[in-house]
Amino acid sequence: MLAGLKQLSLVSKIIFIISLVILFAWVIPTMVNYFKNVQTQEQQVVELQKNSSKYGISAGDTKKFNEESFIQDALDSVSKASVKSLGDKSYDLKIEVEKGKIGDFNKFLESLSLRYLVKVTSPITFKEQDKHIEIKMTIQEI
Amino acid sequence: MGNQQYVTITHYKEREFYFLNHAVQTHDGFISKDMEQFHESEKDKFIERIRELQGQYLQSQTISLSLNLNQKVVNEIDNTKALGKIFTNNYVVQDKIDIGNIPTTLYFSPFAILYEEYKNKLDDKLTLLIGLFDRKLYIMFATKEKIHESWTIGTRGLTEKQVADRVYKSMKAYYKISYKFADHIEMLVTDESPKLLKVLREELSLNILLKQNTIHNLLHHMGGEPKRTSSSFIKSSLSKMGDDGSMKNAEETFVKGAVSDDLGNLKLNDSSIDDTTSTQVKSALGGAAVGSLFQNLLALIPLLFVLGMGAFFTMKNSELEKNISLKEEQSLAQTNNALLAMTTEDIFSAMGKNAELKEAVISDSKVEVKGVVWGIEPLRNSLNEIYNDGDFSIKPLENFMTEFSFKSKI
Repeated sequence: MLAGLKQLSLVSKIIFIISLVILFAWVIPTMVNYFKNVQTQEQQVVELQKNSSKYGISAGDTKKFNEESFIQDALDSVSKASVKSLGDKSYDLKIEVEKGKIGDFNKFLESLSLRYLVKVTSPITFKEQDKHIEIKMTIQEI
Repeated sequence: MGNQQYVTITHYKEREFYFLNHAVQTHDGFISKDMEQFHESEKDKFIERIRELQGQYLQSQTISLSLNLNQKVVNEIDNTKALGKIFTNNYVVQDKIDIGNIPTTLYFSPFAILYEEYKNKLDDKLTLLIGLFDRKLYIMFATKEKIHESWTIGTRGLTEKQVADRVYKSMKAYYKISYKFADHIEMLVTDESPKLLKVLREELSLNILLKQNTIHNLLHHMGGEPKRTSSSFIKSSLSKMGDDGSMKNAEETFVKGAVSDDLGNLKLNDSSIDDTTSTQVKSALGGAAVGSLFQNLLALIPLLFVLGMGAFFTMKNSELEKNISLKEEQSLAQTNNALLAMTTEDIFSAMGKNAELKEAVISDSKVEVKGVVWGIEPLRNSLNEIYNDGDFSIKPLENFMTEFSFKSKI
């Protein structure tokens, strides 16, 4: 192999050396980083799957936020739900639950970010209204 | 209008200098002109001067010398290498012709020159022929029938004693395979090196017959007759031209095309080299430049492959990092939501049947609750169990009911 290298022209040798430098300085570190990230992602997926299974959500069921489907899903747990867009991918949520059923809201809240790619960005306010509790909060798409 | 005389233009590189000479060939030998010298930084000027001479003399051959150390005399044709025939079944080979872009039509090996210089002296006895060219020794064991073995020895950085020792080792190595020592030694030197000669004589304990000549003169001599030019290196692709791949076809093509069979006519009538002569030889040797370009293009393949791989993994990694960051944020949001739900659960459990909520604000940093209380102490105790540094207060209402408020940091 060394004899073969010796026969190469100067330009070929320079190109060959540049290739080696790029390989060791850029390609191999990028590859190593890539494979590390693959492992990290696999761990994250396992963790999220574990959490999702607690709420009966299948892995990979996390959806991008959509007002209509969100309201439809929310009505399975709470009495009323409405969404108002604030722009910049933020939304005001208004939810009503029966007084004795605050536990349903808690379950809904726990699984919210597993069902939709959203996070809660404001304090949650609770207000009594006759037989219901009105809950307000702001969420933002991740 | 160019000069019609047949001229041999000779050049070679020694250390950082190119040496150029030209000579007019006549019936009685050649008449050499002044030698010109160019530093390697003046390569363009040097090439321009060769082209100028080629333009000046329409009948010319541009001749150079291979000082490659990796050349060897062999007895069989190797079509994969650059090769030149020395005489029957004796060929000199090297991996490739390495003249770069310097115009050259004939290219000789020191082995071919050595044979040419001593061929008439060779007989049945084994003769060791040593050529000293540019501080390199070209050694071969020859009889009139055959060149038996050859070696090249670089002398740069070696003392005369070390050089002589290597020549002696070559002789010993040859003795091991043939059980023969050279009967006598002939030496052709192109540089004056009396000390080396003296040491060689002492170390080998043999009489060495010495001949001295310049590289230019040796090359002018080689280019002077078409018979001798067949000892030039022929480009490897030419040697494959025949259908049967034989050297004969290649040699015929080269000799007929490159050099006229009748040099006498060349010298006297100056018109016997046809236009195809230089075209064929130049295209044959121009192939080296094309080969180099091809090699450079081939060398680009690993570079492109490496760049492609780098780009691929960078792109994939960037996608992956984006995905990881998204999942991290999702996990964080889920944890935060679970904590909020836990706080809500705690507050509502603490109130139980002792109070009723009016309003509450729950975040990940604070809790504020307001409502109507029936069992003050149980509520205070329950809330203090969860948040022991919270601020619990009560306020009597007009309807004989009591309002409580609770604030705490989390």
